[in-house]
Amino acid sequence: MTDTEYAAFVAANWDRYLRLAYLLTGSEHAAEELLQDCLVKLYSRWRRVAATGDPNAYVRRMLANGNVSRWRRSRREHLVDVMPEAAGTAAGAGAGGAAAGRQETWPGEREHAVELRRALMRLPAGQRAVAVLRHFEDLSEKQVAEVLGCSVGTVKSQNAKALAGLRHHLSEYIDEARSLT
Amino acid sequence: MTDDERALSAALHDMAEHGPSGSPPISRLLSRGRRRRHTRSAFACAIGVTGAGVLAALASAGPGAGTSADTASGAHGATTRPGPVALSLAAERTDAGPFHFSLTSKTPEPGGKAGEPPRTGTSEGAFDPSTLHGYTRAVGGGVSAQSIRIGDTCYSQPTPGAPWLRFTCSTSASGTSLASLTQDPANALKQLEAAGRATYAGRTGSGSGEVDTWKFTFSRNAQGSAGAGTIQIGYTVTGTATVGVADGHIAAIDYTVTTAPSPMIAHSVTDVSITFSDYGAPVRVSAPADSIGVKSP
Repeated sequence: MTDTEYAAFVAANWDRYLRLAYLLTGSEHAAEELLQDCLVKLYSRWRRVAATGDPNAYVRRMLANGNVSRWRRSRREHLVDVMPEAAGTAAGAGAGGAAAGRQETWPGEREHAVELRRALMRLPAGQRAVAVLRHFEDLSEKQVAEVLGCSVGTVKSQNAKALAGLRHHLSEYIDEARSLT
Repeated sequence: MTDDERALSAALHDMAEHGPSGSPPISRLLSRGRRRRHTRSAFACAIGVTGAGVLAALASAGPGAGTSADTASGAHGATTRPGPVALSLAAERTDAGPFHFSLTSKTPEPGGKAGEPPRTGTSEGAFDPSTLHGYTRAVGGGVSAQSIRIGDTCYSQPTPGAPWLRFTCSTSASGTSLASLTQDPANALKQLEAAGRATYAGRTGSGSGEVDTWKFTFSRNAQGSAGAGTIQIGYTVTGTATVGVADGHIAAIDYTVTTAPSPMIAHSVTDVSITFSDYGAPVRVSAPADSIGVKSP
């Protein structure tokens, strides 16, 4: 019964958390590795976590904290501008995207996505986690603080720094994205 | 929300939309999860039962048990200095009032390869046996958890920010868990039969820092839970216990657990150090404001 519930949870949320992990890590390979590690840990604690009624909060926390730990262990991310797979995706956006059944929403979006990913990866992992949880997961500042185990004030300051950093690295992209909203 | 934030939100969603997707490797996750659960259970059992076994060993080193080097050589009778403090007496004294402790353990990474650095976990806490009030905070080794005990009610927070879980403290595990070593050593002594031998290794230090050191070693087989079944774990424990000469309290226990390889658990070496301090200092804990009632784990 527990395995069934766990499997159902994973099946229902795999894509969602794979994408969250992707935004946190900037790499498809690292995202899947991080998510799998977190879900394995979730399995071993499933009974307790499920008893809280909100396994999603637990997974978010493990992904965010796991990526910060991963980032601290190896800061090589700072030395890499674009992951090989990202470069490949950008170069082959048309055929690759079509082959995968993905639809482009505006011309040149792949290049912008690469720029955004590059800008995100230049942020410290903590700021990146705040930005992604706040603006992708649409969590409130209080919820982000609970996930990361810090104060709301820290979330506010990290968010401001993340935005400033992204603005600095991504001014051209932000301007274009803003025009689409 | 500012324009910049709205733009960032849109951009992140777009980036994620074009990010990775696919079928979850559920079979692989279940398989890895089961292995991890078995390993965790096995280690927890090995360390926990070991902790109790250490105390049992200490009990066996009480008056008339173990071999005091001083006594054996006859040197004790030729000096006016008091003899070594019996470990069982020290354990009883430790349990007579509130005490604080810190614990460091170094365990192999589950599934890790030989030669990889061990996972270091540290925790600190306090316990008052008379009121059954206590707490532990664990940090490191990929773990960050807190637990509180108030009488027979236990609270646990698996990770920072997570909801507190409330449950009735387990009584069945009190004599065989690592917690029993730090929270209720005397009870552990009563529950476990003598598991080994201890020998007096001498007295070092001076003044308030003067301590008696006891060495111990023993081997045992323990039964641990592994999913729905049980597994046998063989292990050997070697270590030392130091007792303050001035106050007769246990000052520290350091031991190494070496598990024998089995189908469920690889050969491993785990080092544990526990330091006791602040005897008599009050232990103040309060129940978390919000908690979720769950069945005892």
